[in-house]
Amino acid sequence: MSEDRSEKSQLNSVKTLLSFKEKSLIQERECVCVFKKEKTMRLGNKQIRRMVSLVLKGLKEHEVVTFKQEEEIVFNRACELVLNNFKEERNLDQEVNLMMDDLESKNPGGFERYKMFPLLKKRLAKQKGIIL
Amino acid sequence: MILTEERQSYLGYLIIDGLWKEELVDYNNDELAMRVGKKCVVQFVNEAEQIDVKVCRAIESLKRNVPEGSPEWDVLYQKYLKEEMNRRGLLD
Repeated sequence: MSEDRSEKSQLNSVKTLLSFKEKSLIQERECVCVFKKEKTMRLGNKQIRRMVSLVLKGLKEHEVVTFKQEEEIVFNRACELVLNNFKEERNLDQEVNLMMDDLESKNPGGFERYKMFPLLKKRLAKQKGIIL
Repeated sequence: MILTEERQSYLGYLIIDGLWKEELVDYNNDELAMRVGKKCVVQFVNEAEQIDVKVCRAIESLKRNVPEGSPEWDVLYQKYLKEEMNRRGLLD
């Protein structure tokens, strides 16, 4: 019961903070907080290259693609496209961490970042139209 | 899941559509190309999830109980993940 209340109060704080954010009162600045409690795997360059090579291999196997540029150029551009998508998520993480720093400074103690992080991230992603 | 189903689907779309829009490739069957793209991303994610399962099992198999989500679990997860990815030649 008290946990429910605490979660509700944290959600209310998020709502307040988001409206605060909407008014552009939070400045973008470099984020040094690397807090991450979600069990997610960050994809490195090698993994992204692996993903793209699987896609291009699949397209070739199905004889569905014609390369209009050298395959290496196509491959590198596809990697960039995916990389940019992950960069977008990293920027979102930084923004969420900043918001949490702000929220935590206003609510010292009793603030559970690992619970707040996914909630805030999901909400902000929806607002920005980012697919997570 | 390391990437949501929606994200997997979106990444497939991003690659297939992005390359076509930039006139780097052409497809003789757009629908099939899109299906293949998405399927290959799913295949990649399945591979990555196998690694995740292996890493989680390695932590579980430790004699001392390390609760999932604790700071120690996170450190171990990153350590074993790195080791497993290195073993498979997937580290940068």
